Amino acid sequence: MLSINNVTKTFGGVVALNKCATTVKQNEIVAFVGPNGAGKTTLFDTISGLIKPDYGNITLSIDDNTEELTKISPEKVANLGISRTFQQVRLFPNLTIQDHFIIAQSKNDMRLLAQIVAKNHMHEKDVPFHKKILEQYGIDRDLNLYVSDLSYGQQKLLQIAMAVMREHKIIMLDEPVAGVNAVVQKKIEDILISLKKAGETIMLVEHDMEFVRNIADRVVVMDEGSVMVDGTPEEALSDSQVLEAYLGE
Amino acid sequence: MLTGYLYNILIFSGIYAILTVSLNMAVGFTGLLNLGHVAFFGIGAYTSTLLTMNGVPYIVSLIVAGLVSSVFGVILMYAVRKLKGDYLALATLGFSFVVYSVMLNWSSLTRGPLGIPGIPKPELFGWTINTTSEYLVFTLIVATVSIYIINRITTSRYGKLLEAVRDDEVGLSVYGKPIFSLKVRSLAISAFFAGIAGSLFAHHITFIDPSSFYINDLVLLLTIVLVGGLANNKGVIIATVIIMLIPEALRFVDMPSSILGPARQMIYAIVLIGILLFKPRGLFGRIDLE
Ligand SMILES: Nc1ncnc2c1ncn2[C@@H]1O[C@H](COP(=O)(O)OP(=O)(O)OP(=O)(O)O)[C@@H](O)[C@H]1O
Ligand SMILES: [Mg+2]
Repeated sequence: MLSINNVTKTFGGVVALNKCATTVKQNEIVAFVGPNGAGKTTLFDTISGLIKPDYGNITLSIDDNTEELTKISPEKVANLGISRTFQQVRLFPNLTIQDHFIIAQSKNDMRLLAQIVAKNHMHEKDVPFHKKILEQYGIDRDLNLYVSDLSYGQQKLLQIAMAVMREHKIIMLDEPVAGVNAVVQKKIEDILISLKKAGETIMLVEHDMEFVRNIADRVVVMDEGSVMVDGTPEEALSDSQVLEAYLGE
Repeated sequence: MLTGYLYNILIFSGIYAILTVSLNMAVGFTGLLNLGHVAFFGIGAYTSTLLTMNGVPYIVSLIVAGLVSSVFGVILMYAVRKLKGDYLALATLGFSFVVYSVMLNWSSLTRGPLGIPGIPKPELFGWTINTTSEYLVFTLIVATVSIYIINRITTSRYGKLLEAVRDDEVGLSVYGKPIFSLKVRSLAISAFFAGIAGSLFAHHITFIDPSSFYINDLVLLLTIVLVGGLANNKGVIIATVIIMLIPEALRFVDMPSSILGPARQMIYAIVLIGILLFKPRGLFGRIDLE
């Protein structure tokens, strides 16, 4: 489905990605692990179209249609069905929770004229649906609250909710549980397990190896911008070299 | 006499309300610190003036004034597409200077510093808007429609996208929203209404010269938007009326007119500094100025 072909990216002298190559199949949960600075986030940003690689390319194939993601803009990549969250939460601090849901959900919100003349141009009818999502994600807050008033954990949950609720083929989650407390971590892990059950295709950066063993179909171990090991969780996480050098277990 | 004077203040308040609410759409809602708004105002004024004086019906001139300003808005956004924040502000300020100097130097078209006198009063479907009270009614109609449209946009889902561009454009792009197109359209609409305001202004005072579209007006517009509060249309309208009234109070103080002008500018500057220091979100806003 997703094919990452020898992607190389340098920032000044730093080689963030070095001939990085792997693939993601439909309905697969792939965990990306590796030490700080291994290039995991850079890889996600390159897939999103936020960063253009120096060499190599990334393709997304759906049915018989193949698109080269590395040639198109982030919004086009997103509209092909790549959903993602950011390691450092990126939300819109002066918008409410509901505004965020609407942004994630709307596909026709660029139709300006229609909105000027429309009678009911917000998504009032979706309020019950939005409330249900809040409940599912354990965010016990009012829909009209500005997101800057949410706790960090709630912001992380909201980001995931937005990525899941928009129409997508693949979800990329960059360290979804980093920086949250144990309760939120448990919640997020439960959500991921239910996404797995629902047959989602997920790329995940995650440091908790116990959880990776639990959820991932495949583990990609990265270091210095390259893929070191690519295999089942058993294979990857028992590789002694990996354990010693990269995971410190 | 006193009512005529009051009507005048209200007419200017109406014109300025269009200017400030439209400026707020770009600056407050979309986060484009556009310092080219006076240029759009001037382009609209000159376009409408030149068209009507060459026999084009007023209603056409009014709309074309908006459209021409809008085209310049699109051009400006393309020109500054790689810039953000302070750099965008500087580049758009440059645009204001360029347009000002074109108005000043393209004498064959604009009569340069001499200005253009004798601009005809608007004529709409057989209604010639001659008296101040008629002009007030006309201005209020145009202002109400303009502000209504802008408010419709900013309170719609589209408006939320503009605010999201302001808050985090990279964050927004991964939801599949075309950032640049949002910015272009925002500036184009903002400029359109500035052009409409320019037309209202020109045909009200019936004389324009480049000095009406200079940086001191820009300071006034920005002051009003900041006092009212970024991304708050209601606040900006209230601030417009308040700030239009402040200098009028000066008239009742015995003061030679040579001091009156500079005194106004000083009041605006003091209000601006005061807001920036003590109430950076404006009287009614919740968005911080970055
Ligand atoms: N915009 C940038 N400019 C310069 N260097 C960068 C930039 N982005 C990433 N890097 C560098 O590229 C390398 C890879 O960074 P990246 O963020 O992809 O690592 P990571 O695997 O996500 O690490 P972490 O676990 O800390 O999130 C690092 O050395 C980083 O400093
Ligand atoms: Mg990272």
